[in-house]
This record gives sequence, structure tokens and C-alpha cells, in this order.
Amino acid sequence: MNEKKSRQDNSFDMSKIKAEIENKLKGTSDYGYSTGTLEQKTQYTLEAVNKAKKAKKYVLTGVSGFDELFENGIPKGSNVLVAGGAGSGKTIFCLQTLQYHVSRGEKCFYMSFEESEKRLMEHMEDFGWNSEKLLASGNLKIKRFLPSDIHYLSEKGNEDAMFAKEEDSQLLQLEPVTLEEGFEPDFVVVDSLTAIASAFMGKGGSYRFYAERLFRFFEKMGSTNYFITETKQIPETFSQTGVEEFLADGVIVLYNIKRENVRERAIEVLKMRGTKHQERIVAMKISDNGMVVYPKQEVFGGMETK
Amino acid sequence: MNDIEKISKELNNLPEGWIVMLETSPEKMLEVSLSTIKFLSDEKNYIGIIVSASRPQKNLIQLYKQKNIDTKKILILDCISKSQSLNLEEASNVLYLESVSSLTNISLAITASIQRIPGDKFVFIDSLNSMLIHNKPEIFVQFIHGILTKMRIVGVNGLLISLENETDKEVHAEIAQLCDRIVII
Repeated sequence: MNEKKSRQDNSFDMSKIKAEIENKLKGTSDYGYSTGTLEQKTQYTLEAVNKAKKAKKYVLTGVSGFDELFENGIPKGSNVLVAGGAGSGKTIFCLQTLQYHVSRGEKCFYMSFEESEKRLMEHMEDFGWNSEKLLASGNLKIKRFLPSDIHYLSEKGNEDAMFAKEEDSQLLQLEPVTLEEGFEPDFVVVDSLTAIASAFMGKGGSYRFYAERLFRFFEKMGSTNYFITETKQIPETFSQTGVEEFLADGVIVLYNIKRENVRERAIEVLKMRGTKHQERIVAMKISDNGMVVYPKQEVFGGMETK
Repeated sequence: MNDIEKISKELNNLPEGWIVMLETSPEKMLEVSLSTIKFLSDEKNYIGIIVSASRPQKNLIQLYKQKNIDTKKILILDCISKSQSLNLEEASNVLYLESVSSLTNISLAITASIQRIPGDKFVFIDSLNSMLIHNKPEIFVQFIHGILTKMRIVGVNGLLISLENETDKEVHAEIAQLCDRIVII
């Protein structure tokens, strides 16, 4: 007992430790759930970035802790569904990823079929991301599209894409969306396929056809693309028709689950072609600084779909 | 042999990294908790991480002071005050967690505390019965299993306190098999 007493060093500051723990829980102290000092954090980040860059085949998201779910990162040029229920953090995930890349000089395009440019910029400001500066850099573009923009394209092609069927091969020549000339994005967010699908309501299989063309269009462009889809809080399918998740190279699912009297957030990489990844649902939080993923922390119950 | 002598004898006989479940009556529960924390803190010189699902920090700090427990060696993870909308007084050794049902957050906080607090330490879960009021048994067992496994991996000591014969039999059996010793007081 005395031996124990003598070897234990209690000359530490509990308030400092408390602050460290709080920062860690908020995701501000280090890279997600990685343990260690700032030095170790930096080392982790640099290692991950270098590894991804060296391979030139993978990209990181910059979402704290999320990239640790992958062996290397997301394969460059992938079409990735970002699926989840209302309030699960889909938009935040995508904005955070874009601000990470824009701040590294890469070109990013946010196509919003839902919220206005102003609202999206406000979201960014909420997390301390300087949206005006990012836009001023010329590397970030946010544009709001309306369902009528899809009509417009069809009119231009003298065909109505809203009523198009798979057999209308002429439509394959049309671009499903218009991008600003001269701006070739490295990353694109489409927010959301759900909103696009709603424009095709009552139009039979037209949406499926359009979605397929959209995926192929971005695939050809070579950018890494995130397609947001709204699902149930505990989804059984991860897109409007179910076909999108087959077309996509990857599916990231975000959860915001009610259990007892609380809600708990979680995230999983359901599918990602071309890379190894963790196959489990892990804890996630949305802090004042954005999304934080805890790749080693399981979530307790409530995630079963049936 | 009094209660604390019995507890100390049991704990002293176990190698570091022990995990022990204390079972006691409702009448003795508070005294057993306080005496055990005092023993581990004063005698063994451990730092205590107290997961409180039974009492808010304000009440706990008062009790610790009455018992002459050095609160500088205690970090309280208070799972009560926030959910009860109590005044969240800023204190250097208290972390307020959302609720007793926020098992993922509690797990994150325990893990972060274990990682950040240097030296020999113990985690005290007070109490299984209180936590079971707010959580489904099967999910709670999953949580305890996860926490105890993490503690085993890093060799942190753990104490779980529960009411004797008051805990669901299946839950008790599941948790008991993860402990090195069940001490009935």
C-alpha cells in the first residue's frame, strides 16, 4: 500500500484534464477518437494525407475520425451516396468535406436542389467555416437548382426528360445538369437525389433513367461525388428507388436514433468499392466545430431495421 | 471484520486491473460506496472516475467532503444534473453528461477519462440498478460489456455497485461473468 502511495504521482491538474476530456468529446482536441497529443494528431493527419496522395487514388473527407474507417480513403472519382434521415447530418458531412478540400486548393461544387446558397453559407458559418473566404477563393461554388432546371435541359434537347424512358437513346446525348463552363470540380455534392426524384413524381421510370445518366455524367467528369438521399431514420433502403445504391460506388449512412429519452448519432460505411473499410456502425457527434466520428466507439442498441 | 475491511481484503488480494461487483442492501449502499471510494482514494491512492447515475454532483461532493474524501482525486461523470435541468455549476472535477440513457456518450466520457487521467485509477459505476431504470437490460449489458472490455485491455480497475437480489437475474449473470469477484456486503 505504501509502495503504491509512493509511486503514484498525483501532482496533476484535474481541471486541465477535465478540459482535455471535454475537448476530446467535442472533437476539438485531436483527430476524432485517436489518442495522443497534438503532435501525434498532426502525425496521423499527415500520414493519412500522404498515404492517400502517394497512392493518388484515394481522397480523404477531413471529417474528424471518419477517414480512420478506411484503410486508405475513398477511391478518387467515386460516386458516393450519403444517406440518412432528417437531421442526421448529411448536409453537414458534405459541407465539411468540401470546406476541407477547398481549403487545400481543390475545386468543389455544391449543387443544392433544396436549400438556398445563403442558408448553406449560414450552416458553414455555424461551424466556424468562413464561407465567404472559401467562395472568394474561387475554388468553391454553391448553386441552387430548381426542379425546373431539369425541365429546361429537356426543352433544350427538344425532348422532355421528365417523360423519358430508357429506350429514348437520343436523350443519352443530353447532359443531365449544366455546370459552369471552365470550372472543373474535383468534388461535387448533389443535395439531394430525393429532391430531384420529387420532380419526377408520377412520371414512371423517368427518375431512374435520369439518376443513371447523372451518375454516368459525373463518372465521366472524373470528380469525386456525394449524392445526398433522404431515408427513414433507420433505413431499409438507402435511396428513392433502391437503384441508386447499386449505381453508387459507395454508401455512407448517417443515423440519428431515438432511444429511451435521448437521441444518439452514428455513422457507417455500408459499401465502398475499391477500398477496405470498417464494417460497423460507430458513434458520431455534431459539435460546434462540425462532425466528429469516433471510429472505435460502438453505439448501443436501436439500430436494427427490423 | 467490518464492511470496509472485507472490501479491502478482497481488493488487496486481486492483481491490478481487477473488476469487482459490490452487492449490498439499499440501507447500506451509500455507506458502502463512500467507504470504498475513501479506501481506494486515501489508502490505495488511486484516482477515481465516478459514473454517477444515482446522485447529482452537488450532493456527491457534499458527501465526499463529509467523509473527508479528497475530491481533487475524483472526477465525477454526472449523468443526473443535466437531464433534471439542475444548475450546472462549473467545477474542475465534474463532467455533465446528457442523461443516464446516453450510453454512447457515457462510454465516450469514461474512455476519454481513462486515457487522459495519468497513473493508477478506478472507475466506479454507481449504480447498476439506477442505470437499469433508464435503459433496456439487453442494451445496458452491451454497454457494460463494452466498458469492462476496454478497462480490461488497458488494465484499469473497476467497481460496479448494485443492490443484492434486486438486479434482473439475467443481467446479473451476464455482468457477474465479466467480474473477477462478487463481494456481498
